[in-house]
Amino acid sequence: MPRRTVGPPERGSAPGGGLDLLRVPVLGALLRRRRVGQFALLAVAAVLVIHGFLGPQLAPKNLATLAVWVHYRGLLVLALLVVGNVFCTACPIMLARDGLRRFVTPRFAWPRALRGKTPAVLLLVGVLFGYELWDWWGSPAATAGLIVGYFAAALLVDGLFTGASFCKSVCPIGQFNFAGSALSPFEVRAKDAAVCDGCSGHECLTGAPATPSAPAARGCEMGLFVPSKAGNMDCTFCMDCVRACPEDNVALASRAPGVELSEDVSGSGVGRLSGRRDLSLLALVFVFGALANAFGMVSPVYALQRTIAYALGTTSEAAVLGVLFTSLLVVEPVLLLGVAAWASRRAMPGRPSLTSVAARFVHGLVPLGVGVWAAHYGFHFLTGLWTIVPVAQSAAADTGFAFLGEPTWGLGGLTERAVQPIETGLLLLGWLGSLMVLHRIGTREAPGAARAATLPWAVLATLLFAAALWLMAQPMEMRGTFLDG
Amino acid sequence: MSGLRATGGCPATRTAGEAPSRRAHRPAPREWRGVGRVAATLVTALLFGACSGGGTGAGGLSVTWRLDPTPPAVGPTALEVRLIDPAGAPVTGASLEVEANMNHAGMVPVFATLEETGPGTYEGTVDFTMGGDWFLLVEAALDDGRTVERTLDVKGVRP
Repeated sequence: MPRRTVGPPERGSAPGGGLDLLRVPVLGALLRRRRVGQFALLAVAAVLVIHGFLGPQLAPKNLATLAVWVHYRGLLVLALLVVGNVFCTACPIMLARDGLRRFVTPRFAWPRALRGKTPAVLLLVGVLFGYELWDWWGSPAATAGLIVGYFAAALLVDGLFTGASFCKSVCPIGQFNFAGSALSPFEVRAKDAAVCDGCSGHECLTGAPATPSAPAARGCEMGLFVPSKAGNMDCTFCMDCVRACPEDNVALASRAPGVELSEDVSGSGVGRLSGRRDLSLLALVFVFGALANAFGMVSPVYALQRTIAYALGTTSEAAVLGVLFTSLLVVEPVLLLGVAAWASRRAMPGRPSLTSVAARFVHGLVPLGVGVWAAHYGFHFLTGLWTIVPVAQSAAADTGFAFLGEPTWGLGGLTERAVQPIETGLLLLGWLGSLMVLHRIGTREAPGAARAATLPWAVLATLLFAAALWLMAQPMEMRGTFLDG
Repeated sequence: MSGLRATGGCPATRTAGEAPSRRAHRPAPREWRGVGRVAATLVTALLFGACSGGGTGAGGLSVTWRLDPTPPAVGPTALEVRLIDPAGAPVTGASLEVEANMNHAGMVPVFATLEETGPGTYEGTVDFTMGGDWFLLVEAALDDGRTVERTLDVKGVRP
């Protein structure tokens, strides 16, 4: 398989003409020392849990609901677009996990039947469903409980099973990050392929023993071997490989965002995207879940929910949401992808199966999915940017520390009118990105008839883009239930 | 505000004496009884039924409220609050302030001051800025020095 490197590094300069974030002063040091970020986010998580359980049970006045559903989500998506998967880097759960493993040695390998992304993708769907059904966004105690539950689940899984089982096969947020980081402008890779060619220790994968001058370093728990790693899938930016490499030959290097979606090279620990149905499923849920999640906050969804409830003769919100989620995440994708695959495969050599065609092209829709997530979460983040200030002031005052001053409740963020062009721009970028990636996939899969193979998918991407534009133009109506009020 | 109709609203959940202004921070001992307050809220809601548009708090003060238009929509909305003491007499001379907020985090709250337009009747305008579920934090500073707080749910403001 082809190896992509960024060329031999020069001291103090970016390798291969690109940018190596690990060489950027301060930022590089922070990225190398993930514990700094992990301790910081652990402290934040502790504050959110305490305030979530014991603070005001009003979502806009509680740090748990505000920081998790407005700021964390927004910053996470923006970080994916600007840098990469840095929220996995600073994941405080891994700090707790590593602490646990000082006392508990996991004995079991993750069950073969549960390997791959399918269980985690189903959990991701479950999270999206639970978010709507139980209105986690409106309950500080539920949000705090969710944080505690997340820690408990991770510690249970990684206390029993070896490696990074939770990150690789369970964590729904991690899978979201892996899918979204395909569009990130940076990836971990070798600086110089020749250096890796001469390496016999493979420390980036297996770890490095302690030396008189350096402590032992862990190898990649996700099973990614740097010289043959391709893209950001399964990479948590943990920098274990950076610390383990005795040649300092690993960079966090700039690259063309989205390139891994169309290259289809067999990357270490991941394989080919086109050969992994579970990764295609992840891409599908990532894209259609973005639209479903945004649909949940606009007015028409409530009318639709009432219609479904009337048709079913039920007042069960779970039943109505079940129908809605099945429609948006199963029926709609199957129909749309099926039609696009049917139209596309006629131009493809060998007439592959519809499933095979859809599995290859669905990755081309990921940029649009990133655009929708960024527009949606960016809206909440930017319009509520400064609301964290008075809530933090109030929380500090409630604990007897008034050093933050009196709460200034009037603080908000950008106006909806100011954010709307940003939303549109993000959607536009996502749509254009999808068209480019789809064209590259079409060129790869049908070299003689790329245009004909790509056209149905370009039409689908355009339809989804139009749907996203329509969604963002709808009046927002954030409600806990559709059955009363 | 003639012709007003009661909308869905949950009865009082908090009554306190000597509380500082709503805009100022609240004292720690009261604010940090979160779990207990949630339980109290649930019990109160069960006792008074769901969202009846009024109720009696721990201090015995009855609070009823109305919005116009009903159902409320985005934009200026008239709010009328009536305070009745345990003896059934209107509570006059109180100062009422309202903070309206969405039940979703990240929105800027809206504030209003209610003026007394009749014995125990206080009126003002709340400007709902987005469709969805809101709640009103009503703080009444009584002329005897007590402060009464109520959380009123306003479901389904139309966009």
